[in-house]
Amino acid sequence: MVRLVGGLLLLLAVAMLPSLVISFVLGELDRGAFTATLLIIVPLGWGCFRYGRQTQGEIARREGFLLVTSAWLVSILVGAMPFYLYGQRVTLGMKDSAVIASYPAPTGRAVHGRCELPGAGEKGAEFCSLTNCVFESASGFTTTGATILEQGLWQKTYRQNPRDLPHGLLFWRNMTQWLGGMGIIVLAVALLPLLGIGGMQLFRAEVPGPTAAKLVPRVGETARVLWGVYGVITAVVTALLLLSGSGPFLSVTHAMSTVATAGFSPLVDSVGGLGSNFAEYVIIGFMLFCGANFALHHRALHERRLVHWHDPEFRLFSLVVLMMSLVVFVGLLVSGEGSGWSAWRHSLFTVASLATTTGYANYDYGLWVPVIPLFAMCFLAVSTLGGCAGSTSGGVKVIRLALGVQLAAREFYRLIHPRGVRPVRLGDQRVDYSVVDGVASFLVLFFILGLFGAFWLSAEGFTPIESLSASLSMLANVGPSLGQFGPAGNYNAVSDLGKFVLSSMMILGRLELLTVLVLLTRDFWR
Amino acid sequence: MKVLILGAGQVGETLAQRMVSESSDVTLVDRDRQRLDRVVEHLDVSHLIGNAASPELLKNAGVEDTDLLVAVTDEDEVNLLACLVGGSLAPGCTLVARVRERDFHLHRELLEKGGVRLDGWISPRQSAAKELAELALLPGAVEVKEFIDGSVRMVASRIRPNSDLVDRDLATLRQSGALGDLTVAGIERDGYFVPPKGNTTLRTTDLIFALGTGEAADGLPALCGHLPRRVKNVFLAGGGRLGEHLAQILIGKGLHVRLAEGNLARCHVLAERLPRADILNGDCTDQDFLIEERIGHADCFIACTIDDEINILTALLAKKLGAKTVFVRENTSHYASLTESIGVDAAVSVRHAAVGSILRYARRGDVLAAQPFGTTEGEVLEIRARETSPLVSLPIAKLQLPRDVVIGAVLREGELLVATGELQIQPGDRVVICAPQRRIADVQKLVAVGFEFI
Repeated sequence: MVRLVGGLLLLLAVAMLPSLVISFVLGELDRGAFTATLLIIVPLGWGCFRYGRQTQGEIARREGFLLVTSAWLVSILVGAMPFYLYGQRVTLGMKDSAVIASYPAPTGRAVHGRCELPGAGEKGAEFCSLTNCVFESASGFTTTGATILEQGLWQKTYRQNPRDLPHGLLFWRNMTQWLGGMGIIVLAVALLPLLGIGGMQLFRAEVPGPTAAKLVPRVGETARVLWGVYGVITAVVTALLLLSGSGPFLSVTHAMSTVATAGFSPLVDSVGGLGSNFAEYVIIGFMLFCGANFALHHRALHERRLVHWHDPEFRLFSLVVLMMSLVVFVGLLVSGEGSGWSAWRHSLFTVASLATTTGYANYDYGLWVPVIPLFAMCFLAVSTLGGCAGSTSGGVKVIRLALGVQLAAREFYRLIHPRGVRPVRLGDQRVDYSVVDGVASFLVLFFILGLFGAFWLSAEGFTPIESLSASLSMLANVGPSLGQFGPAGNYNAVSDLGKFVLSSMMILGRLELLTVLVLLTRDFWR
Repeated sequence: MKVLILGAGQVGETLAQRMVSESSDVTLVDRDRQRLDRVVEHLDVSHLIGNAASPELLKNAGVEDTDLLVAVTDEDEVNLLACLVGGSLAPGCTLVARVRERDFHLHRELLEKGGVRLDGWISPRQSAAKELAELALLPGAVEVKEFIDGSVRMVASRIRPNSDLVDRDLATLRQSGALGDLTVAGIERDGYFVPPKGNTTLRTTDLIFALGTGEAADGLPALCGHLPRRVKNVFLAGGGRLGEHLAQILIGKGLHVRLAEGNLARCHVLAERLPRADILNGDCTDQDFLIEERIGHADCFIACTIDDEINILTALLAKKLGAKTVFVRENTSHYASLTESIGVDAAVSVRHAAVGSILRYARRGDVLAAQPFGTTEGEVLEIRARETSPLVSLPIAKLQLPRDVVIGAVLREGELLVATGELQIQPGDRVVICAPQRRIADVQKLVAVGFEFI
């Protein structure tokens, strides 16, 4: 256990190296933040790794739950360190006039960090608050993509330039998402089925590899293959984005958060800032690709043929995305908000981004909502639905909704035929009752927590639609939602406590609720 | 004819009975001495006790000079193995095996590649399910048999008092064209078979058997005074292999099927295999259950459990509660004479279905199908006419057919011809002939293969 945490710290240290290199090469202000973080986590990780060597043993079910949750918590805390240290550096470094000069005065919007230290309002000043740093890091590692940074100015001319933050820090921001995505596919495809979390057991039979009951060897092997797939997809996206002329830094960062269906962009105007239709279509394609079950990709690779179409969940998912895009497209044409191919690109991108819970934007879809209020419902629905199980996307997942709907249909059936026997089925396959029960409890918990978050934000004074959409968006790991929290806004206006609530919702949603909540039961600790 | 029957169960016994009555030389083999004794007691057959697949036993049973080997033990594997052994011992023998498992049917070519060379694969439950499905779809029919790949059907229906056929003789009916393209194959009156003669007057409650093309034959119940009715809802009791197969066929025909089965585990299996049927876990002898599931709205109720008493009782209960027609699966012959008289619309016997599928192999010459009908006293044969056959010499009206034998239909080069008196059968035609059982031997002479083939 401790050894594994140590290993995780070392892994994070390795993942931080590219950011460190970037910061040193460009000679930017975040050098110190990365150096200091590495100085803390490398010895700590190494120590844990060494100390933990003796306690190496088999991981039981209970430790599995604990391990998963703590892995994410540790990652999030470590991930927040460079942000915080940088934030401190900014506020303390205000005396360095050269540095101050390099930061332009804050622009238009009334979005400020709740930081009372001198220098508030400066670029990167959002990071002087620990809460903000943890929120940003949680949003990264859970591949949510909700940010406290200013974004989406959506001036008529897209801004090609990155945020006025150091490149190393921006790179780290996207790196957390890439790492989060990596963790999730292994969690979803290899770990959760073994722990018996609802819905995913269906794929147990489909993931090749030894089916021994021992957790570690099997997960290890599956993980290696899946990470291989993940890495290859990232490389492909990077290459395609390079082709679109986005430049190496933007290509790599966008590729990382596309594959993780996460949604951080170093650009203020998100993907729209890339200013390339080709890049947008590439990102649409790969968001959807990564919104499909990675076990499917694995099988496709294994059997050397496209098995995706045989999967009922993937079929349903594609259908939903296509139908919703058409609805939005027609809506835009009718209302005159858009026209021609650009309207189609905007609607497809928005729906794909929300349905895969990525949270990118190539247009401020928040502007459509006042014109066509129905869109609010569409966006809420697709983003809550999420992608396929076993993908990097979040949300309820198509499979759970399909099973949930059937469960309800079965109740109706049972009212009419009390002795009727009707299994819940997926495609031609009968779904085991234990799986269906797990799905039902997941759905109940999901919407209870979603309501809780919505009430919380309402209490803070946000409008009902903002509260509900933001709350569901956090649980579903989407990122942007509606109104103030839309693609042209951010989450900085939420109170410190509220940010912790939202951060925990992101973690809960990411780890499929039950994995975390089980730790709160008495039975777990007995 | 020398017949070796392996397995003295219901099918084995019925078949032995039939073959003995045709004065064949029958040997019966079974592992169970008691069962064998019970059968042998009232049948003139020789018998052997032992494993049906044992080469030693088959040799002792005289398989070498047997004409027909029928393997109908309870196990598919034993049946197939017995045929394999029997085939090697007697290459000229016709081999028929009962195979219940669908898997074997689906992978027939695998077994054939391995040397299991069978002339006939029979699956009585499937045949019975098929007939039950036909009955369900044709209200008023009591029996439905198909010939020439389904293009000719024989339908039996009971004449009701309101029918135009009552008190008229067959000759007048034929002349007036009231029968259309139908050929009457026989009549069953008070349990006895009446051959269709011109002066036979039809009466109420006569069971009339008629042959015709699919559509013409389906018109028989209407002629007999049954009101045509669309069948939509079918209620099945018993989810065994037959019930499942039946449900599958009915669903395929677009009907709504409700299937009640008492065993919950079996229900789950059925629910998985039959996604479009309502699978209910309940006991059909429970009146409340039937009412709750609106048995009164069922156009047809079919009891197909393996228990005859339960089948009959649930069927009667269903009828009382409003099911329009009720059919039962008949497993044993115990209540055969009873079922129709107490209100069950028709009974389909798995044994008869089995015999029907086996019989064609017991017929010499170019017999493509042979189906008993009625109380097994009549038989319909589907044959291919040869040049050497006396059938092809003259128009039908002038043929010297044995007494009471009727030519029902002729299929020539894919075209179906109504058997009128002027029609002349040509070599290569497929002919459907109906005959009472005692005339079968004469009919076989008619269709026998020429000398050069013997």
